[in-house]
Amino acid sequence: MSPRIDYPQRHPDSSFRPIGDEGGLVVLPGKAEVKVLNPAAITIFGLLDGAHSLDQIVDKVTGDFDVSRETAMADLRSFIGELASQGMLAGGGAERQEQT
Amino acid sequence: MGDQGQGKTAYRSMVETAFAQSVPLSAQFEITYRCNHLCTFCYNSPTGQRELRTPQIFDILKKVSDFGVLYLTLTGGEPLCHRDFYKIAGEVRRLGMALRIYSNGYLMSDPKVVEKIMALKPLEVEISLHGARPESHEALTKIKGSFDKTVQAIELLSRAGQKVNLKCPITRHNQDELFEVRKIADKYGYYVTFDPVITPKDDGDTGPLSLRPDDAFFTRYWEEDYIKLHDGRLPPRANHCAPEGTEAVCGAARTGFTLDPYGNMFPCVAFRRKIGNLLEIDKIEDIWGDSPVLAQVRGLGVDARDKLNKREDGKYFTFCMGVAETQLGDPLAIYPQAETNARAVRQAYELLKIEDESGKKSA
Ligand SMILES: C[S@@+](CC[C@H](N)C(=O)[O-])C[C@H]1O[C@@H](n2cnc3c(N)ncnc32)[C@H](O)[C@@H]1O
Ligand code: SF4
Repeated sequence: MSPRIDYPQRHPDSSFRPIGDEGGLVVLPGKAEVKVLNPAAITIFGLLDGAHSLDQIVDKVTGDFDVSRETAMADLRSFIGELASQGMLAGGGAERQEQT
Repeated sequence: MGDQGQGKTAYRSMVETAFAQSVPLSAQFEITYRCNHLCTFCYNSPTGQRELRTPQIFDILKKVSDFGVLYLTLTGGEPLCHRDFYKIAGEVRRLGMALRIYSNGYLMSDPKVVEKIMALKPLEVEISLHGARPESHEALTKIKGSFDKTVQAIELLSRAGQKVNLKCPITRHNQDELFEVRKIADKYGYYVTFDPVITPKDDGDTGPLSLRPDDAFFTRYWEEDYIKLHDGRLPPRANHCAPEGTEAVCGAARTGFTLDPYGNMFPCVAFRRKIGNLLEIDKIEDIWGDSPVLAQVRGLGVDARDKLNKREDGKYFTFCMGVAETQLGDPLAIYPQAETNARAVRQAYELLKIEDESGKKSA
């Protein structure tokens, strides 16, 4: 099953936690590295639940951070592309990756 | 917007923030004191009270998850001896927490068990290995056949592609076979942590300390063997739970906490001052900020750091307030084990001519 890009969903095995105002951490079993995200990115990661559309996520980001709608949408698409390429979205395969 | 750059620096800075702001990233949950081993040094001290029932464990896990804990370790006792282990571990995952399992590995020698473990997608499984041969391992566990079962578990987990860390507390039984233990770990491509600290029992009984190797061993270990066993890495000069240079000696009451099978919450697995019982509170937030015990323990962590900083050899100490309290009745008292280790670590740094702050070699 391919991921629904209009309602993106983080990998169901991932765990994440915002930390203070600095951003947050994301871990995925089978991945050697813990991913460190900035505040906007960790907010977005929390919204990738398959229930929020790209537009709704951009609404939230532009409300919370000082960024234009166009920039936010472009950044969001590129962030989601990056997560997908790292196997961190649902349905993107890579259920269990090689240990490093 | 995206990734702030990976690598140790970004992660370390995040961990330091969590430490400074007392954001607990991890929790250990001793879900039962039941066990299929009889390790002579085991620190567990069951009180005879009734252990939590599974719905109560679920209720507590929900509170822990709502509080924002990222890494949840299921331990014990032997967590796999809990009859609802898989349900509980599944709930940890369902709540979105990253799962770690501490186990003696005995039951994981069964491929069906490993299959069920893999389905839980644990971030990490930590297996205790007490020697490189049955005689030494079983001198501690007192269970015949336990060495072969544990090694078999390691083999199966490795074949399944599970990330595993091996743990080897150093005792008189295994002190002469650490390199062979390392060989077993190497065979499966796993990391092994040698733990030089044997703690008293949680109830204060110092019996386990008799299994501690003697000072001559530790001098050799810190000065020579540690570096060889750890691929050239230098001995630690700070507790693993407190980044070097932070204001407190350890992460107790800051970066994590421990829960026992009765629902009691403690600042750390080794520092058993009761903070409260999670069955009796609605939210962990209600006690994390205001608990006098937590405030006291956080303050003690700073006092201990200050005390060590005033010592000429203070920067060579790894120091556990819990061990100090159980062993000497004072969490700030310098216990002999810590002093011996610090002396040997210092010597190691001096022998290698390592400059103190940078960790760089000066010659
Ligand atoms: C209490 S056990 C629970 C998990 C599991 N039953 C196991 O043995 O791995 C957790 C870890 O503490 C270690 N341990 C137990 N008693 C100890 C003591 N007095 N001093 C140091 N380590 C101890 C065990 O070897 C194990 O690695
Ligand atoms: S296996 Fe773990 S819990 Fe069981 S007796 Fe040994 S150290 Fe204690």
